[in-house]
Amino acid sequence: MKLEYSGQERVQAEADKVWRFIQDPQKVASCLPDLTSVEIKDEKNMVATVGVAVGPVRGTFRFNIELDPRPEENKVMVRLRGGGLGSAVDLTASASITDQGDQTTLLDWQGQATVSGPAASLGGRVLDAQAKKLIQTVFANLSQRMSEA
Amino acid sequence: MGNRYIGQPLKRREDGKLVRGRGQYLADLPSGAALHLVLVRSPYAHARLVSISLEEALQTPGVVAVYTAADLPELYAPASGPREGRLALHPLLAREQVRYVGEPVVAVLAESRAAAEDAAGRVQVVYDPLPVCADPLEALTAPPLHPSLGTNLALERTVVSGEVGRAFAEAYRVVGARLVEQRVAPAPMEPRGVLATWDGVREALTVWSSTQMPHDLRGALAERLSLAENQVRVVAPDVGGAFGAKINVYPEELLVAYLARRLGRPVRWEEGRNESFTSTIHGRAQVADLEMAFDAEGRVLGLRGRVVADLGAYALETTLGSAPGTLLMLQGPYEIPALELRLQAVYTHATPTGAYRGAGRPEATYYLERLMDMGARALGLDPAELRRRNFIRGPFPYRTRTGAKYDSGAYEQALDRLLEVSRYAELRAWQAEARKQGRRVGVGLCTYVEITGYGWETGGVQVNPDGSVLVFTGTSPHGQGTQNAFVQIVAERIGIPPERIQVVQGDTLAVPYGMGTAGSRTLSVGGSAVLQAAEQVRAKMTRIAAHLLEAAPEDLELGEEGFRVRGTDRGVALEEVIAAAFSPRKLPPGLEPGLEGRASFTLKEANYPFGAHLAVVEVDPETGQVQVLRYIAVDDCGTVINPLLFEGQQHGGVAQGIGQALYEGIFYDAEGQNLQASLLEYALPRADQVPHVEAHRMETPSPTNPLGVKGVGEAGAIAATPAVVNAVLDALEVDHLDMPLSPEKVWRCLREKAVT
Amino acid sequence: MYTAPFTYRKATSLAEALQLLQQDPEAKLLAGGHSLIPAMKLRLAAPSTLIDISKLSELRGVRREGETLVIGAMTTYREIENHPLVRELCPLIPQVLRHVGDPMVRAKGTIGGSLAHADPAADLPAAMLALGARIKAQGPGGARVIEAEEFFTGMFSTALQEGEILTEVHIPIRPGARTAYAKFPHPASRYAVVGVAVVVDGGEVRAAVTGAGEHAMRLGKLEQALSGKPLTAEAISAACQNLLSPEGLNHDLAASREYRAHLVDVMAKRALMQALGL
Repeated sequence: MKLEYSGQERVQAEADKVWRFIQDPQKVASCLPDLTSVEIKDEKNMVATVGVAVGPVRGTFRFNIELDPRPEENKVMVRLRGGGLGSAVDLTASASITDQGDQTTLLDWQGQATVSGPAASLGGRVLDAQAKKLIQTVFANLSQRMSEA
Repeated sequence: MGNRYIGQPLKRREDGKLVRGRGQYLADLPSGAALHLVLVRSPYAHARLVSISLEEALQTPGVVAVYTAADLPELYAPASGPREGRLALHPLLAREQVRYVGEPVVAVLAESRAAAEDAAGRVQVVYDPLPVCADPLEALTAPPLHPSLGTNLALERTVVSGEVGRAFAEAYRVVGARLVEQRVAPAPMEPRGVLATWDGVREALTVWSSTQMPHDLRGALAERLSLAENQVRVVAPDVGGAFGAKINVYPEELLVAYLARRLGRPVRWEEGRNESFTSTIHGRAQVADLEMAFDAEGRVLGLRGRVVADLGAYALETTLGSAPGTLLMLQGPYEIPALELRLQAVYTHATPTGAYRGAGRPEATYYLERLMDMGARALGLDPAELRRRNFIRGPFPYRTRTGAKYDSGAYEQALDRLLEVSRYAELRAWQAEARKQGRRVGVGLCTYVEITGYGWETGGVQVNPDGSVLVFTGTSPHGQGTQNAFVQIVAERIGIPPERIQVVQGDTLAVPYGMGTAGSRTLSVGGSAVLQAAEQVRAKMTRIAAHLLEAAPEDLELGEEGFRVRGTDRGVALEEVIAAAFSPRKLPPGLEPGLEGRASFTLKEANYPFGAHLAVVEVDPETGQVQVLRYIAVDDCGTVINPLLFEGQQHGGVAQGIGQALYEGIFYDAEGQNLQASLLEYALPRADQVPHVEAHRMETPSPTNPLGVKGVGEAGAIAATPAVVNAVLDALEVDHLDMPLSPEKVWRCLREKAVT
Repeated sequence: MYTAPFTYRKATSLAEALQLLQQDPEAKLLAGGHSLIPAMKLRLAAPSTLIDISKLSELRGVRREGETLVIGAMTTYREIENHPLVRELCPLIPQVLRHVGDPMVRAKGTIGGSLAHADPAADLPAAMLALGARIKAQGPGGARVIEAEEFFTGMFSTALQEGEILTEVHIPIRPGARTAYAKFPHPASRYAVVGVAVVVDGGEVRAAVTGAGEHAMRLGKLEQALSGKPLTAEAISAACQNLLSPEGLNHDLAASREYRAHLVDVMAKRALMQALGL
């Protein structure tokens, strides 16, 4: 089951600052909602556990997260692979980073989630909502933290 | 002399027990100290197994063992198929790669089911997803699922007969379409389940399984686990439906037995309802591109095209066997002077497919009946009339161009009977009137011939000293109630009333051998064996009675009171005859004590039931919702032993056929995810969606067996799908829509028609 | 399928339930259990503790308070469906409850459990919105009343806060109102693909839909088009056109956004025709 989302965030910071933030996995991980634990493997890879709660669904998802900043393309790619609740979830998101020249930076993001396994048919609606919420929150948090930094 | 029991509507004796919840299904068997097996299954349709971490699972309280393929010997579930077929065997647990969502990867054993489920949730498997091909047409050219086979094409066959090129060149009208027989889930009320115990002292394995074929399972267990068949006992307890899905020996059956022996403890596994949607075979799953040529009078000149069967990821015992049946039956009840047909069966990243109520014949019937209706539209003929112009009228046995040999048939008579009991002419007049009022009502027909019975079967009849009787059969039913018919056959032949007769089945220790219940074979093969065993008993009883009466055996007749010398009042009660059978001094010289018969019966040639069905539907033009208003079935399955059992099969089969036409379907997305893997999404027909089936029958005896019977188990499911689809398309006045005819699909069709 | 391990606590009073809920943030309240228990068996949910409030007498029963019908949160569907006060004063609720699950579900399921669960395809939320119900909740700091329209906030999400318990449903009595519920059920689950509840109260037309979006919602466009107008079959048919834009509606295998939007029009029309006997 493939789900697609997109959105836009305006960060109150210039692009340089945004790039510095993105290249720090600890900082990026802190933007995951309901984060219960994170283990940084290297500057691009980490393992994070996040809580999931939508209506009746409550549990934890464990994700291998791979950050792939591509400054030459003004783009950052993020891949989350993992799962929970007997199902696998693959999330890929990419954001194009455009300095607006007015101390703000635009994050134009697109995300794609693939839910596999029993939850794809059982909890499809719920996981759809959850994946959407997860991606939206990550980018909203990123925007906020970057602005604060 | 008329029949006392054969042909009588005796009620099923087990129903009182079953409907009160007192059946003994697999999950009802006492658990004792059994370990519970739970399987961790792949969430991916195709992936490499990167790593499996079991530590957390092993630490779960109550967990006894957790195994991956690396911990097991290299074992595979058995598979079979035509000789030229390429078999991709199903491993018990995935090795290196997974190839469908639901494939077992890790086995977790715990003291309770709950603990095993807890631990299964803690197994961490890292997968590396690989490209997926869940579409059978794409699979023809996609990289092979099983590189060792070199291709996804497991089986290819062609049938060419007559001058097809000329038939199409000279045709007045040619109709054709891509016709999809969607994947459906057999969804028996009781999912699968296995319980195994190993007796280390006697070195004997006992396996209870929700199976259709205990002896076949015994053979597979012995062969795979390197045991002799006399070390293995298989018992099928009450089985709550199967529809063909429980013919196969599945990986879980071997795994449970293997683990019970390895751990020296009973092990049980019960399939979950949701689990069953990915781990039990699916049925149908074909795509056909077919064309039919007609002359100006509506006579069929030729049929040509290709059928592609979706096998899923691995071959089980029935995976390769269904599609050839489609090819065999693609002439149906019609004269078709020229044929050119090609069958291709391919592996895909999906749950394996296999025999499901009809197994190949429903597909053939659906294609033909859709083409007939398209032809009727193209030619401006009534669908009944077009069929009538094309029926095979004998002589029987009749050899088709596809290789079938129809034993007996009366296709036109079946249609005539249907038109009469349905008041077809009035129905059409009513439809025309309703259409004028803006109602979208449709009438759909299906005339069919199908194939039932195969192989051989054992039967036994044992009369005990008290006059009670045990009947032994190698068939192993799963809800049909066929034991009641066996009782009637035996009672008829040996004069002991039905209430004194019990049937023993589904236990390899009690029944010497059997091929199980499948392919609507039970009565024509199993019933004939039982009949012959009963005849042996009757012959011996007659000899004893003759001795007691000091008469010649040929002068005796068996009546309600016992044996009598024909034309006199001299007789002997049955009890006396039975008592004598167990008293050596009362027996005639040369006759040994005991009263039993054992027989085997081989069905040398299959038999071919046929019939004509009609559905009346109404489409809600605003929502696209279809309601089946009436359903009329005329089925001829030879001699009928018990009309109640017969009608039960008609009703159930029709319900399943309606299910496929209107509601059911397993569809995979591009990632090979089964999106209907629960009863929240997978729609089975409900009581309010199935009308009362007006069930009629004809009885044209089959020459293939002494009872004159054919099988009725699948007829309804074969005929109802095309009848209902034809009715809906008649209501919509369009050539074709693929199943299921869901409300949205119908609504879109109506909307497009409104625009154009 | 078995649930993950959990602790079971049977609350003997509302106060105790509130206290137990305070003690454990991972606890869930157990009402009829017809949504929560299946989710637990599928292991989509694994609360540490279930606090059973289903038998609390202070949360059960139906009574009239002036112009309001008060239904206790733990009153079962069946009790509500068969209650003479409900039948007399608020026939829409029995009309809707006939469509909920099956007799077994209705024997166990409760009004409070359903509303707090806020399944986007449940039947009752549409009725609550159409009737203008108010939902009373008790928290550690006291009680408050939430308008139905503010109550449903998203898919399985409500305005209830952590630690709050839904205690009562208050339904304004609308004498002489004509009501109906038209539902297009999902072919498998029988939840609403689309369900529309309507209340025609004098000149006022109130309508709400469930199943269409992330949560049940009022059909404002329909209400404005028809309120205060002569309610002829023609007027209703004309008004029931494009009530909701397909964008943003739910979509699944049973119904695309476009088809769902169409079903909203059809079900709204049918509900109104039925309510008015047209």
